Amino acid sequence: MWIEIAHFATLIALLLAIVLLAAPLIGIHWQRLVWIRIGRQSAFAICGLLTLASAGLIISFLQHDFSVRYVAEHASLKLPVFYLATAMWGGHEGSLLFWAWLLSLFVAIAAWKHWNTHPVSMPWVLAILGGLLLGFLLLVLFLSSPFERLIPPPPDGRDLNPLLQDPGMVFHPPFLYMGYVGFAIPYAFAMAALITAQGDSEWILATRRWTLFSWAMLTIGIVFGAYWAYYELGWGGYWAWDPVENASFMPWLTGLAFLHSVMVQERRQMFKTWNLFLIITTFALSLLGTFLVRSGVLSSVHAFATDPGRGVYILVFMAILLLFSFGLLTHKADLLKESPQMDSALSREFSFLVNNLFLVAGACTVLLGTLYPLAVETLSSAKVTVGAPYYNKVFIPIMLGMLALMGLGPIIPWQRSSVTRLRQEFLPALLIGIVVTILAPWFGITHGSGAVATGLIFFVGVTHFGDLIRQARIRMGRESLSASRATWLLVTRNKRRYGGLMVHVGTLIMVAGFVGSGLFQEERDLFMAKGDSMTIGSWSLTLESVDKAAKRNWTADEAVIRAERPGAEPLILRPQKRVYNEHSQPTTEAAIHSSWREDLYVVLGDGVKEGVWAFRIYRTPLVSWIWVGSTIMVLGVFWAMMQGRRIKS
Amino acid sequence: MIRVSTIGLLTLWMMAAPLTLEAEVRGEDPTEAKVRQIAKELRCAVCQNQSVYESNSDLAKDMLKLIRDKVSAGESEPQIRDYFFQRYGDYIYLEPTTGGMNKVLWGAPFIGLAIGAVALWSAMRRWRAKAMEESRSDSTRVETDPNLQARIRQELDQVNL
Amino acid sequence: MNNIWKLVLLGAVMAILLLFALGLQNDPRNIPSPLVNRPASDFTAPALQGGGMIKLSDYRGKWVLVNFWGSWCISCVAEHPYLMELAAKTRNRTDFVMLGVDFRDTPEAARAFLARHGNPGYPHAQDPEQKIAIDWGVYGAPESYLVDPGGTIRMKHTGPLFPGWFEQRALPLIQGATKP
Repeated sequence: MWIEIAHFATLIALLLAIVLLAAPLIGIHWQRLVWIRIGRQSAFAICGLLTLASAGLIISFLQHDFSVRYVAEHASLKLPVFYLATAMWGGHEGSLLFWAWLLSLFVAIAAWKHWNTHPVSMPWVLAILGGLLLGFLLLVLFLSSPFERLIPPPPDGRDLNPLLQDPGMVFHPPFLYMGYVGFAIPYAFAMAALITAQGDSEWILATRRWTLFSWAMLTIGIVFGAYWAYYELGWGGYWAWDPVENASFMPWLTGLAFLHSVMVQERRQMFKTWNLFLIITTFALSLLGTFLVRSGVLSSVHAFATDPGRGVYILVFMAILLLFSFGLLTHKADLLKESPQMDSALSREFSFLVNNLFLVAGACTVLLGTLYPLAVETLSSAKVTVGAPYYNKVFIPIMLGMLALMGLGPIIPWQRSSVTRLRQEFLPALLIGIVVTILAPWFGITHGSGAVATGLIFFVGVTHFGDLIRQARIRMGRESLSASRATWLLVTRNKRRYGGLMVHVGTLIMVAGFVGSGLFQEERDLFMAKGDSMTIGSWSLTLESVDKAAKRNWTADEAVIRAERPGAEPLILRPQKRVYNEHSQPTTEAAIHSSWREDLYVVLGDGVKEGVWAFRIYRTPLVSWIWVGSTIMVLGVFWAMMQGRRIKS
Repeated sequence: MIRVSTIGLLTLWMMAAPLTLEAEVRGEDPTEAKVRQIAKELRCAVCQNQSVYESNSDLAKDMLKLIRDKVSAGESEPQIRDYFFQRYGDYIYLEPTTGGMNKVLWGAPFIGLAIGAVALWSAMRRWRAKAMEESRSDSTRVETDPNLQARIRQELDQVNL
Repeated sequence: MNNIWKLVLLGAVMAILLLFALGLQNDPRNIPSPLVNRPASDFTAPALQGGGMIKLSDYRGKWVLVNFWGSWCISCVAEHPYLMELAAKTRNRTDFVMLGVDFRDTPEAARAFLARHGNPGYPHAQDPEQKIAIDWGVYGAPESYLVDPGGTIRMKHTGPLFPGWFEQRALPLIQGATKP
C-alpha cells in the first residue's frame, strides 16, 4: 500500500519536474511572472511529494513489507529498527530516490530563500534545477525503481549487507549526498549567470553559504566514510584510493579551489570565467561520483549483474549536462568582460591562483588515476591497477606544495607586497620550518616526505598563529583592550577569515595524523593460544579467552585480550569475528583502543586449530588526530558561514 | 557489542591465571615482515584497489597464505611478485609499472603542473603589464603616504578575509 | 591564445565522455589472461568423487576444458545446465574431455551441489586452499580454460559458459588446430 503511494507521488513529482523545467522558461519568453510563480510552486510541491515517497519507502521497510523487492533485498525480520529506517540508502535504487529527495529539498529552499533577492536569475535557476530533477526522477522511476513488487513475497528478506549495519555507514551516505546535491544550487546560479551574461559577483554572493555548506557536508561525508572503513573493515587503514573514494574526493578538491578563488572575484572582479568553470566542474564531478559508483563502468571484475540500460542512460544524462554546461561556458565566456590585472606576484590574488593550480592538478591526478585503468582496458584490452602507491608518489608531493602555500596565502596582503615585508613576516616561520625538517630524521621521521610535511606543519602553524597575535596586538594597541578580548573581537568580527584559518589549523592536525599513521604504523601477524602474550610498542597483550557472543541478527567469536602498558590501567579489548545470520561471509569487528598518541587495533582472524587463533595487531600513531582535525575543519567552515553579507565600504 | 564489567573480568582472569601455565610470549614469525611487504604491494584480484594484505576476501587470504608458503620456502621478493605477474598480469601490481603507456600516467601530473605554472606566470606578466599601463594613465590615482596605504589595506583585510 | 582553452576544455570533456561510452561496452568478463598460449601448469589433486588423484597431464593428447567452480558460487548454478548438456554431448568425442576444479570448497558441500543440480559425470579435482586456482590466475567462479592436446592454454572464459559456447568458441579452435 505505502509503496504504491510512494510510487504515485514520485510519478506526480516527475510531471511537476517537467513543469518546473518548462514554466519558468515560458514565463521568461512571454514575460509572464505568473508562469515563473507556477514553477516556484511546483518546486515546493515536488519537495512535498518526494518527502512522501521517501516516507513511503521507509514505512515499507518498517513494516517488513517483503513484497517490495527493494525491501526484501535490503532488510530482514531481524534487522534492528535503526537500520530498517536507514536501509533506504543501503542500496542503489533507494539511494537514488534519496538523492532526488535531497535535491528537491534544496531546490525548494533555494526557491524560497532567493526568490526576492535574485529575481533575474531565479527563473533560470528553477528551470535548470527542474531539468536535473527530471533527469533523476526518470532514472528512479524507469531504470532503477525502488517501488517494484516481488510476487510472491518471500517470508523473510535477504538482510542488509553486514558491513553496512554500522552507525558510520548510516551517516556516511546522507552527508556525502548533501555535499553532492548542495553543489547543484551554486551550479544552477552559475548557469543562470552565464545565460543572462551577468558573470558579476551576484551569483557568488548568493551561493556563498551553499558552497560552504556543501563543502562542509562533503568533508563530513568523506571523513565518516574513512572512519567507517577504519573501524569496520578491519585493515587498520582509512583510505584505500579506490575509485569510489576518489569519486568523492575530486569534487572536494575542486570545491576547495572554488572556495578560494571566489574571494578574488568578490574582491577584485577577476577570474569570472575560471570560477564558473570551477563550480561547473565541481558539480559535474559530484554527479560523476554518484554515477561512477552506480553505473558499473568502474566495477570490479566479477560484477556480472551490471545493468547496461542504466549505464547508457547515465552516460546520456552526463553528456547532456557536460556539453550544455561547458558549451555554454565557452560560448558565453567572451561576454563576461574580464580585464584581469595584477600588480604583483607577491599578492593574495596570485597566491590563490597558485593554490588553484595545485588543487586542480591534484584533482586531475586523481581523475587520471581513476580513469586510467578504464582507458587502458578500452584502448588496449589489457588490465592495469592504479593503487595507493601511485597516489602516494604523485598526489602527495603536489599536496605538499599546497601545504607550503597555505603558510603564505592567508597572510600575504592583497594587491602587492614587498620582499622586505615578506621577509619580516615569514622569515622566522620559514626558519623554524626548515630547522624542523632538518631535525626530523633525528626524531625518527626518516621518510623524506614525512620530514618535509612535519616542517611544513610548523611553518604554516607559526605563520597562522603569528598572524593572529600580530592582528590582536594591533587591536590591543588601537582600542586598548586586553589580549583575550582583542583576540575574541578579532575572531568574532571577521568570522569568514578566522573560520578559514581554523580550517587551515584543522588541516595541519590532519596532516600530522596522516604522517603519523601513514609512516609509522606497526603491524604484527601471529597466532596466539589462551594465555599467550605478545608485545607491540610499549603494549603487552595477553589473550585471556575466546568466547561466543550473540545479538539479534549475528553470532560471533569474541576474543578477550588484556592490554597493559607501564604506568597505565590495564584494558580489556574484545575483537570479534561476526557471522550475520543471512550471510555466510564473516565480518571482523576490530577492537580499538584510541588515545591522542596512538591507536591499538586488534583484529581476530581465523581459528587455526583447536584453541589457537590468528591475530593481527596494529599500533598506529596519531590516527585520532585525523578525526579531531577534520572536526575542527568542519567547525571552521560553519564559523565562516555565520558571517553575514560582506560589509560594503 | 556486549560489554561485561571490566573488573568482573579481571577477577575472572586472576582466578584463571594459574591454569595457563604453558602460556608463552609469542613473537611474530620472522618471515612475516617480508610477507607483509610483498602482500601490501599486490592487489587482491577480486577487490577494488585493496591489497592482498588488507583485504578480507577469501581469495586474498589464500593468496596471503601462498605468499607465506613461498617466503618460507625461501623464494625472493622479485620471484614471488613475478609468480603473480605471470598469472594475473599488470593487474596484480598496485603500483603501476613505469614502462610503456604508463609513462603518461606517471608523467602527466607533473607535466600538467609545469605547464600550468608556466601559463600562470606568462598570464601574470600580461596582467601586470596591463596594471602598470592603467596606473600610468590613471590620473585620479593619487600617490599617498605608503604608511597610510598599508593601513588602508590592513583595514580592508580585516573587513573582508 | 584566447580560444585555446575552449578547445582544450571541450576536447577533454568529449574525450571523457567517449571513454565512458566505449567503457560501457567493455565486457567485464573479457579479462585477458597472460596465461593464454602458454603451457598450462600441471596439477595433481584428490578427486571429488570416487577417490584417487586427478592429474592434468594424464589428459595430454586431448583438448581439456578445465572449469573452475565452487558450491558457494551463484553464477555456477546458472552455468550448470549447460555443463550438463555439454558433457552429455561430448561424451563420445575422443579428442575432448572436461575437468572440474572445485576450489575454496568442502567436498561435502560440493557433492551436495552435484546431487542437487545434477552430476555431469566428468571428474572434479579438489582445491580447498585454491592453490590450483591461484596458479591458474583465477579471479572467481566460474572460469574456464581450454587446454590443447599439447598442454597449452588456448583460451580463457570468465563467467558462465553460455549455451552454444562450445560450437562458437571451442570448435573453431579445435578444428583449426587439426586441419592444417
